[in-house]
Order: sequence, then structure tokens, then C-alpha cells
Amino acid sequence: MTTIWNAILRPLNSQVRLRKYGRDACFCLAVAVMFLFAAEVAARVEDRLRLGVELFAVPDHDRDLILHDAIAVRGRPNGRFKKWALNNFGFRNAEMAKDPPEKCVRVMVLGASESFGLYESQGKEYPAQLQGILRSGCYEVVNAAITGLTVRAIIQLWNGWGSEFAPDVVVVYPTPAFYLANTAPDDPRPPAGPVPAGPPPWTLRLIDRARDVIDMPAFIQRRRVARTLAGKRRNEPGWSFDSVPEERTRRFEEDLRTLVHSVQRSGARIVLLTHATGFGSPPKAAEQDALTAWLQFCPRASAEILLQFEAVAATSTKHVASQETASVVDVASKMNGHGEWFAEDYLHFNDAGAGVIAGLVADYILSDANVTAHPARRQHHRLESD
Amino acid sequence: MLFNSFVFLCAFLPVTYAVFWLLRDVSARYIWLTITGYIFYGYWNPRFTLLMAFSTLVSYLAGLGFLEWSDARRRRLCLVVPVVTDLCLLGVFKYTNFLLESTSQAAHLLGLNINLPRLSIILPIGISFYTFHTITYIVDSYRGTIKPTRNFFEFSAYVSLFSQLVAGPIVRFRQIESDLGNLGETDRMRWLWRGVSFFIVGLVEKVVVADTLAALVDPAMAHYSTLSSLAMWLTMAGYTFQLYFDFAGYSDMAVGLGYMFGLRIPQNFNAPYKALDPSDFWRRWHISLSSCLRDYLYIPLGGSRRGEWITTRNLLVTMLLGGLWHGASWTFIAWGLYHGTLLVLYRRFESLWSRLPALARQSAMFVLVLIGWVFFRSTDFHMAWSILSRLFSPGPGAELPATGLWTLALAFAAWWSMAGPNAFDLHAAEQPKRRYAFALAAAFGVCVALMAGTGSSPFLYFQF
Repeated sequence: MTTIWNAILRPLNSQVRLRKYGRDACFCLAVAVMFLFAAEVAARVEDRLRLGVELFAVPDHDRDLILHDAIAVRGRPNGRFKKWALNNFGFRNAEMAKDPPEKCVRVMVLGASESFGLYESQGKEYPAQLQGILRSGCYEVVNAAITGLTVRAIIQLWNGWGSEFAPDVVVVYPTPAFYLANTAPDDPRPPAGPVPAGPPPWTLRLIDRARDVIDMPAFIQRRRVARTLAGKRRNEPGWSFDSVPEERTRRFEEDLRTLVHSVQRSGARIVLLTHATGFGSPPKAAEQDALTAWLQFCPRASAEILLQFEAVAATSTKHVASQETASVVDVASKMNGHGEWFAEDYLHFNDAGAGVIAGLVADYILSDANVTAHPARRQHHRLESD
Repeated sequence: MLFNSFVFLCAFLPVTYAVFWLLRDVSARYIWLTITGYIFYGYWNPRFTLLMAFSTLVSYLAGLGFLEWSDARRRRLCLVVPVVTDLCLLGVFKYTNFLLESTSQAAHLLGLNINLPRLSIILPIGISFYTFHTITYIVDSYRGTIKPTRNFFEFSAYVSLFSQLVAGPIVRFRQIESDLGNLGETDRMRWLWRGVSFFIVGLVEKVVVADTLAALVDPAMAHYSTLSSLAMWLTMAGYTFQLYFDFAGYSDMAVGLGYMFGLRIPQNFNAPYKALDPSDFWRRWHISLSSCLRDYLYIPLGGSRRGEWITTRNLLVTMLLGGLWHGASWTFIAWGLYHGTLLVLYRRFESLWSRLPALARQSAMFVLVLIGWVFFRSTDFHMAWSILSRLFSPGPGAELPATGLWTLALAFAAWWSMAGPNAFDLHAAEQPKRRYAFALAAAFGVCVALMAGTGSSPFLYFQF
């Protein structure tokens, strides 16, 4: 009798069990969906409250921060992306008037991501710290730097946009490594053809945040870098740089000279900064990964050539400054090899490093008696603009 | 390692939990808890694990001494040596520079030119907590309140239990002795829900409430000397709530983690801003510390049994040392003395105070506690005086930005801490309803999103 009952009940039991498992699975799925939904909503609300990003916006670094038009590659006016916020003229500093404040010295900072600020906490990028140090006097620091600007692009930015703001001092921190890219930097041209209309494809804000937080283990990152490098390198003879390419050095020097002339023509004083990295000489074992990662941007060079080029570029910067009676602050000699002042890539500053370079520039500005506001020059500039 | 960090949530906790329940033997579980405790602690600075190991070993040996010897002299030795060792560790790492600075300052006041150099000593995180764990174990063993354990790993698991290692609660051995003893037979599912729920409620308190308030309070506090009176009151109210949610959040997470591993960690906060008088406040705020101070300091000093003056002295001494426990600074001593004075005054005027309506008593108590936090938050008396003068002499000054967010954050924090349910109220039912899982999932989602956005901020009580 029991056997018969078991025979009848067994399939029934398994069906009941199956239904229970199904119910549990649906429940878990619903809980997971709830988790993701709440996280996405919270991320959007927080972005709205903290950064002013619209709830349904699709943030994009290049589109939200960079404007590439007929004038130059420059900051997008009122651009916002994550911690980065630009003012009404597309500069990374507080709102400002176009004309410099009366009797105050306007200092304009030009450069790429190192000057724009990448890894520093908000308000700790070097131009902001420079403004903090100079606060006791009447100085206004304008951060006109934008990520990825070569010296060529800086010239264009200065001629087309920066000079409009009549700074008294222009501080330039050029990035030499751009000159070791596959092709030497040229004048940036506005994108050809129609710009894609509408926002980029919709993405989960949560995924974006996860990308910021999740740090892949070193071995995975190493593999990724190796794969990227292998994909970019060519086996053609003469493609790789066997030594520091003279033609690229010359190009860097020429561009720098052109920039100096352009700035000097406006009557502003130009201060060139030599480029520094946190890599030791020779690089330590712990720095090898960062050095290899850097090579992704200049695959034709080896690590040695890259570092040699940095040294040559620093000499060139000083050479140009002395020939063109520009001022120079030797950041490289002070900061090179001090990994503790740099972010993990040994190229961009951390908060402390940004403080060091800001201090060096401030020392120069405060010690140079010629750094003053020039009302006459400004008047002339205003008339020219009209 | 922080509870509100991804390395803890995504790596440390899952691995620790999975391996713990895969192990069947109670000793293996003790060993695993010890190992994970040291990893958790060493993640900050591995060198200081040696300090904890030393303190553990000394206290364990003293416990064995209590088991072996019954004569008073040896037992007293077993009491004095480890307690003095622990207090010396605490003294050297926490109070040396304070002593040197205070001596120099006192010498200057006396007209002597003595400048004692400040030593480069790093304060090990949580040293005040784990030394208290070991001290309570020793004293309880000496008093015969507990029977010391012979199992070294049971004791080391108790001291280095990661859930309460760096910021408490100060769990006494007797409070989890039975759970530790039954660790081999504990049913994994019995308290899992409860543990997860406690942990998430604590995470909400920390990440959503305390960190939001911190984002408003910290920038305001950076310019405290320029704030208007109203802005100062709002800032101090914000700090009052921030501190509570920060620490209560940590404690609730610790309770939750304890449940997940079959250990019932006692309640550390019982809605302290619902307190109606100073005595009530200290029965609700940092319960594990205040009960330790009561049992190991106030009562041995004579408690309230030897007349009014001795009681007053005992209260002041206990609260002064309680303040000093929090930090090596005169402002912490002032904070302790302030609360001691409140307790003394309350004893004198209890009958008058009790005649006030409950709402008035609760509000007045909140304001009194807020004033105390001025000393707690200030780095020196100059800052404390500046804040107090701004609070009590209405005047113009900078107002707070983002007033709407301030109002919202303060209103929510005030409701939750002064009228709403605390974590233990929320877990009154033995088994929560199934739909509660959706609320927990949503709350956890919010926390994860905020953690990914603003990063993990350390707990305020880590500094103690």
C-alpha cells in the first residue's frame, strides 16, 4: 500500500518542489532587479544633487567637456562631467568676467590633462592650488587647459580663444610625449562631416560608477596593455624609434617657439614649465607597469627612448626660454623621480604633487617684479577686440 | 578595511563567510576567525597586528594563570601584569605625545623654557577597543564572573573578531561566551536574515545619512569662524546627527556581521537622542563603553553608596577618564567633565527636571548633548570657544549653501534619531516578512550606488 502511495506521490512531490524552486528563483530575480533599480535611481539622484547632472542625461567626457569648433579645441562653456565643471567660458575655474579685474594680475594656465587636473581631488588641481596660494594678492588664475592638448593645439587655443581674455601671465606646461605618437602632432581640425545628432546611446549610470571603482588585478591590466601594445606595434623596418627622433624634438621646439612668439606678441609674459614624471632614473621595478602602460600612447618608442625624450624635451624647453627671453620654471628637476607626488600613472599629479608645482609657479610669480597688471596693454587689447 | 568598502563587501566578507560555514570543526572556525581578524586589521598596517597578538597572548596566559592558581598573590599578579601591559600599550601609543605637549605647556605657564619634542608615533586603529576587550576579560576572570578559556584560538577569535575589532562595540567575553562555545553547532540559516538586515540598516545609517551629513558639515566646519549663528547651530546639529549615525551605523553593521557568523553582539545604541535626562543618555549612547566604565571604574570607586561628595567625585572621575579614552586631548577631557557635571547636576535637581514635559526634557537634553559635541569636534579650546560664542551670541556671518538639502538631511536625521525606530526596533520580529527583502535590496542598492560615487569614507570612531 505504502509503495503504491509513494509511486503516486513521488511525481507530485517533484512537481511541488519544482514549483517551489521556480518561485524562489523568481523571488531572487525580483530582489536583484529591485537592487539594480534602486542603485540606478540613487546614482542619478546623487549626480543631480551633487554635480547638477540632469536625471535623464547621458554623461560623456568628450561631449560634455570639450568643444571642437572652427576656433580651437577648448573647454565647453558651462560643461560638466563627474567632478569636472567648467565656467561660462569653458575654463576650469570659478565664474569670471571676460575682462581681467582692474589692477589684478590675470594668470592663464595652458596645457593638457596634467594642468586641467585628472586624479586630484576637486579643487586640488594645480591651477586651483596656485589660486589658493596667490589669494593674498590680487591675482586671478584661469585654467584654460584641456585634456589631450598638444603644443600645436595650445597655439590654436591661444590664438583663437585664450588671448581674448588678456592675461598678464601665461603659464604653459607642455606634454612632450605627444610628439612620440605615430605621427607628429598637427593643427587640430574640426571634425569633418556632420556631428552625430542627439545624445549618445543610453547607458546605466551604475555601470559607469562601477568602472570607476573596480580596479582590475595587476595581471589582468598587464595582459590588456600587452595586447593593446602588440596590436599597435608594426614590424616594418624603421618604424620603431631606435633613438630619440631628432625631427620630433625639432618639431616640439619649433612649436614651443611659435607659442612663445604668439603669447609675447599680445604683451603677456610667458612662463614655460619643464615636464616632469614620477619615474626614477633608472625606473624602479614598481614603476615598470606604469611605464609600459604609457607606451600605449607612443608605441613606436621604447621605455628608454620615452624617458630620454622627456629629458631632451626639458632641455629644449629651457633652450627656447633662454633664446626667446621667456621665463622658465624647471619643474622636472624638482619633481622628477618623486613618485609620491604623482598618481598611479606617474604622469599626472596627485593632490600633494599639484601643491608642489603650484608652489613653484607661485614662487616665480611672486618673485618676479615684472609680473604686474598692465592697464595700458589691456586698453589696447580692448580697442583691438572692438 | 572598512565595512563600507567594495573590497570588504565583494571579497573579504564573501570569502570569510563561505569558508567559515564550510568548516565543520569549532576549533577550525576559531582559527579561521582569528586569521580573518588579523587580515582585516593588517589591511591597514600589518605591523600593528604584532601588537594585537602580543596583547592577546599576555591576556590568554593570564587567563591560564587564573585557572591554575588559586592563591590570592598569584591571582593578583595575573590581574596586574596584563592590565598594566595593556594600559602601557595604550599609554605609549595614544597618550605619549599628549603628555609631552602638556608638560611643555605647563612648563611654559610656569615660566620654564622646556620644549619636549613630539615623537613620531602612529596611533594603531582600534587600540582603545581591543585593549578594553582584553582588560574586561582579565578583570572578569579575576572576579570569577567568567571561567577563562583554555582554548587559545577561542580567545584570539574573541579579541580579533573583525566585526567589533576596530570600533567596537566593546563586547565582553561573558556576553558572547556561550555563542563562541556553540560555534561548532550553530545553524547557519538561523540568524542569516537578521544579520543581513542589521548590516544593511547599519550601512544605510552610515552611507546614506552620516556621509550625506558629513558632505554638508565638513565644508561648513572648515570655515566655522565665519559662520552666522544660525549656520553654526545648523552645522552643529548636522554634526550631532552625523556622529550618531556614523557610530550607530558601524555598531549595527557589527551586530549584523555577528549574527551572520552565529554570534549575538549586544546593542550599542538605543536611540540616545530620545533620552530625557543625562543619566538616560548614557544608558543609550555607546552602551558597551558606558557599562564598562560603570562596572570597572565607577562601581569599584564606590559608586553612589558613599555619600553625595564621593558620588560626585566618582561621576566626575569616571566621565573624565571616559573623555580621555576617546582621545588624547584636553578638549576630550573637557567633554568628559562636561558630561560628568551634567550627571552631577541631574542627581541634584532630578525632581525638578522630572516635572518638565517629556518633549521639553528630550529637546533640552538634545541641546545639552549638542553643546558637548562642540568640545568633541574641536581640535583645541580656541576652536571650541569660537563655536560656542557663535552659537550663543547671535550675529551675522556666512550662511550655509544648499539650504534645501540641509533642511531635508537634518529633518530626516532628526526624525529617525529622535522619533523613528532604531535598528533593534526594526528587528523586533524573529523572522521578517518576505517582502522586507525588497526594501533591503533597495536600501543596499542605494548604498552601493553612493559608495561607488563618493567613495568609502572612514568611520569617525576609528580615530579612538
